[in-house]
Amino acid sequence: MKRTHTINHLKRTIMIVDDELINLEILKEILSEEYEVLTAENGKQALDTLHSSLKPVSLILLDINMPVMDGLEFLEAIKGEDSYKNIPIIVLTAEKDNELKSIKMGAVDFIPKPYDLPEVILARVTRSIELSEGRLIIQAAGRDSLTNVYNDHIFIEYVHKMDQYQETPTDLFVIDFVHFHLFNELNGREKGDEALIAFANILMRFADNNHGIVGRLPSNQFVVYVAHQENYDALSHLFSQQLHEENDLPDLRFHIGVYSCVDKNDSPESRIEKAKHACEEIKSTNADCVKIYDDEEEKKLLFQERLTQDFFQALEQRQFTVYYQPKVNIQGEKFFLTSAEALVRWVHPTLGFISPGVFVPLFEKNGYIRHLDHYVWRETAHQIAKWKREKNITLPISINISRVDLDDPDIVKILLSICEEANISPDHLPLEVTESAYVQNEETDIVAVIEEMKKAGFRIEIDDFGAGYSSLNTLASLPLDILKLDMKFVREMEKSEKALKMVSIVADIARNLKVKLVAEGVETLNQVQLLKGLGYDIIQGYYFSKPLKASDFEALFEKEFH
Amino acid sequence: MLTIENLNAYGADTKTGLARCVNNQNLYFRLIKTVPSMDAFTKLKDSILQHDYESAFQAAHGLKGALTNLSLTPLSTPIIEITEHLRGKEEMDYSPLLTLIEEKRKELEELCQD
Repeated sequence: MKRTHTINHLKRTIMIVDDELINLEILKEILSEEYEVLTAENGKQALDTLHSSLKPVSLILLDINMPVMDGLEFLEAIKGEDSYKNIPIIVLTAEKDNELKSIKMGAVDFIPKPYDLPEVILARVTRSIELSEGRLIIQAAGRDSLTNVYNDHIFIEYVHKMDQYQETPTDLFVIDFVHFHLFNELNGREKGDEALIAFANILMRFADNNHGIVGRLPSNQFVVYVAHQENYDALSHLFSQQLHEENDLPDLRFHIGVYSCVDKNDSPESRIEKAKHACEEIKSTNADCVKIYDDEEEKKLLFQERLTQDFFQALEQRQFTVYYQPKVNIQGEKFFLTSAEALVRWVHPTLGFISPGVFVPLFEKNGYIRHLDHYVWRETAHQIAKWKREKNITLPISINISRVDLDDPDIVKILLSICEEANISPDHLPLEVTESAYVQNEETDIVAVIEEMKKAGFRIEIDDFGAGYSSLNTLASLPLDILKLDMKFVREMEKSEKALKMVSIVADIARNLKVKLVAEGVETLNQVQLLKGLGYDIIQGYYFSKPLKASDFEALFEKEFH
Repeated sequence: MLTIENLNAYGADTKTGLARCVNNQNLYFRLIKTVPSMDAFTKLKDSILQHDYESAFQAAHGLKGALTNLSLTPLSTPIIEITEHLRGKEEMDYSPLLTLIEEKRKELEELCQD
């Protein structure tokens, strides 16, 4: 007989279970060319044969009416045998009732008696083996071999499928273990694997009860897609409790990042990223905790990422512009322009005006501020030189020194080379160092750096003074020229007695240290009068002028000096 | 003597029976030769005599499967009939059917002798 189907060249083993010798012999004749055939006369003998067989059995042909253990009893018994429950079973029967009953009990097909067309019997056997092996291969390929949850690819496929059939709100959450590598180091890899399996089982149970699925991400993270849950803190507590109660395992802590009520227009990959991102945000905390993904926060982070990505091109294309905010001396009868502060502005070609309140802290954090500062310093130095050259006006313009600049051992050299390049004197480029920079900087000897700056001829202004909690002792040891009061005190001094006192105390400190006093953020005449009364020398703020482009600033001082 | 002609004369559908045995005549004959001595014939008769219709049904059902597979129609026809009566545990006179079955079994037994 010619083969009707091929699986591959391997000769598989099948088993025929029938108490009737004639039927058994006929089937054996039909199938033995293609398969190794084992036989059993009843269900019990079949189970014994399975247990003793050295070869895996690819399929069972099972009669129903048999003595000792009949076919239906065998179907029931094999369900409980993990090693054999996936063997496809074809039932041999002449009874219509048995066909349905056996299919319901897990049989994959039935062959009616008497056996017409041996080719059809062979083809059905071959097809059943192919389907079963295909299914098992797909199952094995789609599951994580350690924990038996879906792997990430199959998980994503199932998320697509669930979306097609589930219209109710769903959540996607990621479980991340705290310092899992340390858990493995301390307790051994075996315990780590045990913990992952235990947790996977808890999650699978939870998912089964909540119309969900569980997957494992390539890192030691689990991902769950499930009907919307109201209380993740309680859920986290429940998982933790189950893990400790059901398993004799060392303490394993975890975080849950939740993308709640997912937007189904987001791809599954993007949903996972959002949940992972929420998890990432709480990674540094040690306790079990939950973070719900916040779309606004994500938008902010995306915006920041965009700015970071665009930074160097912006620098190259000169998208950053230096603005100048006048500083006005108020101590005499007539107020007069005395200097200015260089402030950077960014007009992005597609995002438009970007607030320095957004990009300065961002670039301070990622270190890009150093590049931006150098750009601003150079631009400012050249502007000072230009005004000196073209207008014959020398006006000191202070520049801001960020905390990270102070860590650069070449800072003074760089500043001097900028002055030299622009052909200006260092005392025309006062340096504004925030109070927090020297309070927070533990790695660099700020006093030494500032002394070196001072020695090189730069004037030193302490910016945002009063907000940085510096000690008077440190302050006294710094070679300062100017104290610049933090603008929040100016803003609050009219309504807060405490703030007004602080403004007065800073004035006393400046007098005692014999340094000049600057107040910034001044917006009203009343503030000007108060500050003047308290002995402040110089005012900077919208009361006099907002920060101006070089050309506008030029117009201002031409009016002032001519 | 067991030949195709004799079996046909007996009333068997040898064409179908042989086809079920993948046209292996040796197998077909070998299996037919086991039929007359099948324990199930005795079990069928004894169980009916004892009114144990469940056991009788099991025996008849087993015979039905084997005999129909071999297409031994003269035997399988009364066996199918008796199986259906026994399935319903009918209280009836089974002796005519049992006699017919025994008659046809003996005929086959004779055919099987060399």
